[in-house]
Amino acid sequence: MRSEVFEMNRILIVDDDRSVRILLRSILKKKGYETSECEDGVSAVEFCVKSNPDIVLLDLLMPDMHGLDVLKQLKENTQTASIPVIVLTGSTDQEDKLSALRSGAVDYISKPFVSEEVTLRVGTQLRIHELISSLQSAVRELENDLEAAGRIQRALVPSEVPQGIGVDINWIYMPSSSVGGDIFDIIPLEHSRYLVYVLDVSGHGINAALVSVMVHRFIEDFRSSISPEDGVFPLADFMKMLDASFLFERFETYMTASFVILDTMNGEVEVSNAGNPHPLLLQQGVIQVLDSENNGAIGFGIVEGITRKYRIHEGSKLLLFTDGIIDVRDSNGSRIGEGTVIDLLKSEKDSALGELFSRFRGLLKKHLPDTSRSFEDDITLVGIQF
Amino acid sequence: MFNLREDKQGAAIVYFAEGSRMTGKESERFRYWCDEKEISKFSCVVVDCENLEFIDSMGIASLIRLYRIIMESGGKLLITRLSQEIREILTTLRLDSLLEIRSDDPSSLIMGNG
Repeated sequence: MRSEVFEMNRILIVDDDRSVRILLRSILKKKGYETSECEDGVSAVEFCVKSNPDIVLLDLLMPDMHGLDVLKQLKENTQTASIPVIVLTGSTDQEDKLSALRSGAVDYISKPFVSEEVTLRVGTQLRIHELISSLQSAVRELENDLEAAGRIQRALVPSEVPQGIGVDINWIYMPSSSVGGDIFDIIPLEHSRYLVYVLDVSGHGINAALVSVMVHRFIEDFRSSISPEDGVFPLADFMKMLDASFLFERFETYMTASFVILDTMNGEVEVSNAGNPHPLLLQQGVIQVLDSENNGAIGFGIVEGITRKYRIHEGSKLLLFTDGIIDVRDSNGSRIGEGTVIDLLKSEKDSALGELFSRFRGLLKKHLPDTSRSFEDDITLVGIQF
Repeated sequence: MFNLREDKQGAAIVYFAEGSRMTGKESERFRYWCDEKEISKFSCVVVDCENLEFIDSMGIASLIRLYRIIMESGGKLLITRLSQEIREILTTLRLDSLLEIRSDDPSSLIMGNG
């Protein structure tokens, strides 16, 4: 019957008493299970490592090795740790039953056996084990998909500054472990002009990663559609089109972004912000919070295409970032906040961009000293020094 | 974490447990919870954010989804008692132009139905 016997159910019976092994074998064979037998603990451990049975019925009182020691060895070995073990005990061995359950046994069967109890307990544990295995396999598949999505996303961000750009650019790009929706790029346009953007798709996981990849593609296509005769990249129109193309109802997600067109030859930038933290411009020792060109988030049909141009002096620094960095919290729960970013920029106003970014990296490390962990949200910070 | 209080006129107040944070998985749960409660059947829903300490982008997306569900069924959504920090986030996103944000006590909003 399907409910009692699953495919490939191989049961190992471990007992020094031959009559017990014969009895269990007979009960289980009747139900169609495949059985193997070991008469001592050492051979049982060896068998499990070699053959990985689906379940082990383990006697506790054996002369060579106590069943609890066998159980301990099985649970300590990664190859055998997941094999469910049902212990066989005398009906009065209450402490042994508890010790076995504490040591990782999934159930116990008291001697003398009632055949129906044996098949019911074995059947139940096999079903549970199968469900756990299929759940683990689904989680592994999902993790693999997420990892692949993360790899695709990371492949789209630049690995180096475009040659001949004429400004210094530095960045910190730290996607969170759960794959977020941050992305950034530096795209050459026409006549010494470059489009630089940082963009954050709401949420995490495959949906956010795929939308960020689609947006990246959209931006590339938009740029390619502008012929040399058309002239410059129309940032305001682009913002409106991006908003209209990625409406919330399509993916149940929205975006925030900062877009900047650098005109490195004429010392000018055109900025448009869409719900991201306001870009910061450090110019002649003064920090300007660029808050007048905010369009609101992309995806709600509210973007008006507001942009603003700024004359840039040599040595000025421009910072673009998503909200990840300002929402980082230390162990006491206190947030980095926009103020800390501004203070750090102010304190490094005369430093080279590389030094400023070393300070930012130090700040992040201070908030997450364990390098094997990642922040809750993606962190993207791009700095430009003219 | 989320609770619903209905009134006899077909309105409801959604409120959060103290110290709530609407992030990642909680936002997912909020979405399922709204569906389970058949939130679209209410003519007016007031989201009382007094106990909402933090909201991330997924949390905001789940609020927007709630807004859309209620609008599509011809209802009304009011959000009230936001913390200063969350209010600023919504303003930066310009969602204050989309969502009806109040500061009144939720019971008074429900009585006057906005």
